[in-house]
Amino acid sequence: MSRVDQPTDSALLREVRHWLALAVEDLGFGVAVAEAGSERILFANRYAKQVWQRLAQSDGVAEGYRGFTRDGRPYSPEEWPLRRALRLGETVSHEEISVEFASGTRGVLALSAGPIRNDHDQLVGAVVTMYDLTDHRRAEETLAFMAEASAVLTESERDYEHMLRRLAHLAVPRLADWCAIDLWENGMIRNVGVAHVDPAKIELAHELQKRFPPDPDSTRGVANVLRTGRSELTSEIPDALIDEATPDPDVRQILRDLGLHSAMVAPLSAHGETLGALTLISAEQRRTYTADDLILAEDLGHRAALSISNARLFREQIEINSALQQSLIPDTLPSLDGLEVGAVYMPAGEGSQVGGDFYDAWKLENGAFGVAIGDVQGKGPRAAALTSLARHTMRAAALHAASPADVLRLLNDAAIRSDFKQFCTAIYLTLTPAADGFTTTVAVAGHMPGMIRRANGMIDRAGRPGTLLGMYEDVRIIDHTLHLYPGDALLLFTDGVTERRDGPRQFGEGRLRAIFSAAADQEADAAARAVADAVGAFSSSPAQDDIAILVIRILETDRVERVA
Amino acid sequence: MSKLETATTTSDGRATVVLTGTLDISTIDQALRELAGARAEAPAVVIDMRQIDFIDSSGLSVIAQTARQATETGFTLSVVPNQQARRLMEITGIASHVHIEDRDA
Repeated sequence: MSRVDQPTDSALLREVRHWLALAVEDLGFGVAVAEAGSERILFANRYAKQVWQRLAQSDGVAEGYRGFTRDGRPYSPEEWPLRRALRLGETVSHEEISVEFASGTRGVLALSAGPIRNDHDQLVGAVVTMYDLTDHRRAEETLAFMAEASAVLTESERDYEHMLRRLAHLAVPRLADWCAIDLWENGMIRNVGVAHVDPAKIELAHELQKRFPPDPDSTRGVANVLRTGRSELTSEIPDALIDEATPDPDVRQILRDLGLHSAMVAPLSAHGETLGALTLISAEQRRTYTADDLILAEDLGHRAALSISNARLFREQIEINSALQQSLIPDTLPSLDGLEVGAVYMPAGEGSQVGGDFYDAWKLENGAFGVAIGDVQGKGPRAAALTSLARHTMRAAALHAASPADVLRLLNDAAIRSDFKQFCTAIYLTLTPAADGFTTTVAVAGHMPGMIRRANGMIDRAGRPGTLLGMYEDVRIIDHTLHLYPGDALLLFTDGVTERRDGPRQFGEGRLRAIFSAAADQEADAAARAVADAVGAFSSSPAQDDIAILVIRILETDRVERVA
Repeated sequence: MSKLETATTTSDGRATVVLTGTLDISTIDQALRELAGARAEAPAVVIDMRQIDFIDSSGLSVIAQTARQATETGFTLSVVPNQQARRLMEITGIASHVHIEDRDA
């Protein structure tokens, strides 16, 4: 059998060698073999030849290659893996080398090499394998960039210009050597961010922009993208294009000195509207942008535009809310003879939602006054509607109701019938001039009673606990009548004050009592502000609830006369 | 770890919802979801708040809303409050509208 097979074997061997050569030729990585001593390349597959060609080397043994370690130190010719294998018999496995291709583009190669020894253990040659990691590294960087960009785009909701500047900085140097973001505002192109690895060049860009502001009518570049909403890709920027861009020889020279190589401009488009443009330029890295890169830039532009659009909506929302909020609290409190009224209102959540706290003060008949404070459960339009109902119902009811408790009972009826399915707490009180001060009748519905700081420093409660409003048909609300003397100060507040938290600690009534006691001799506005400041300073975290504070001071008689 | 933990046990036609942790604006929805589940299980619901270590007036709205639903849809609601919850229920007058069960904490 074996004798018969012998000739077939050697035919097979030849065939196998042929297959092997073919297989190696078409491998997805480079393989080359060099001879020791002469350092001549004996074999190189297609991939290896292509890599060398891109490096502009006819001979693959690292003459004049431009390679760098990760930290940027250049490789000397002896340091290249194939050389080390050929000369020292060293085995090198997967060394990543940053290279500069003949085109000027940067890339990353992974090289491995090993010595070839004959039967007598003599070093006769070496084999090197190589793989171009440039696209992988770029894809990895792009992914990392997109992840970071997404974080930036979602986190800074309000200040979108800051967000765009950060985005521009993130894009450099991973996507581009230059990144500029322009917004289209009132027929003008306004640059909001330029980034470059070299700060001196950013100066240059600003200088250029100042001297030659972008022409909104230009048929190329940012202006064109803003007008058409379509992206632009200039894979290679020829000098002719720079000459075309400007007739000014100085500017041409500056532009040439910048070494602009490849450029993309993508629109910042969302909801069918182009809000701005994103410009990415490759210079030093000499990266040539492709259609794939443009898709990435377009995606980035779209996402940035969505963020801008959201931020603008948010801003509008806040403006609407603050207008609505203003309708829930009086612009100015009336000046009431013999009294001083001060108020502070602080909405939670920086105005993103209309809060449910309200207060009001108005004149009744015969020199008397009505004062209200309250808190509607929840936030947003429904809460605002009930707040508005509460304020107006109380004013109307105050005209004919027998007592403050009756006013709140009427409000309860109105709230239940309104079908808001939300409850509210409130205090309504009247102040009637009397000999030596005022008589006050206080009605409380589910709210914290008021606090009176007497002229002698004692603290009294104003109001007896009563049922909250909008929940039950039958409510228990009590008229509590007491006298306020000159020098007394009355504090009304919402639960955002006492329930303000700092970790596990609560602001609480005790602290409020101490702060109000100390502040009650100041003018009413200053006293209310002092309480608000203490609440604000209590915790560094943003307030969860609205805060309304109302201070009423009974003026000394001589001061009343002076005022009158 | 969540700010609020909820657990419901049902026996003898009563679903007892034990709330543990913080009941404030950030946990209202979670508590309401648990209570809705409890209502589906039994005609009587008990809210056990003895394990609550913080409740504010927005947290109290959980009881207020459940109390209203109890009146509207006809199930029985009882509350086992802790001291803080009891105080808030007294200030707001809810205390006189729901059945309060006193149990040793």
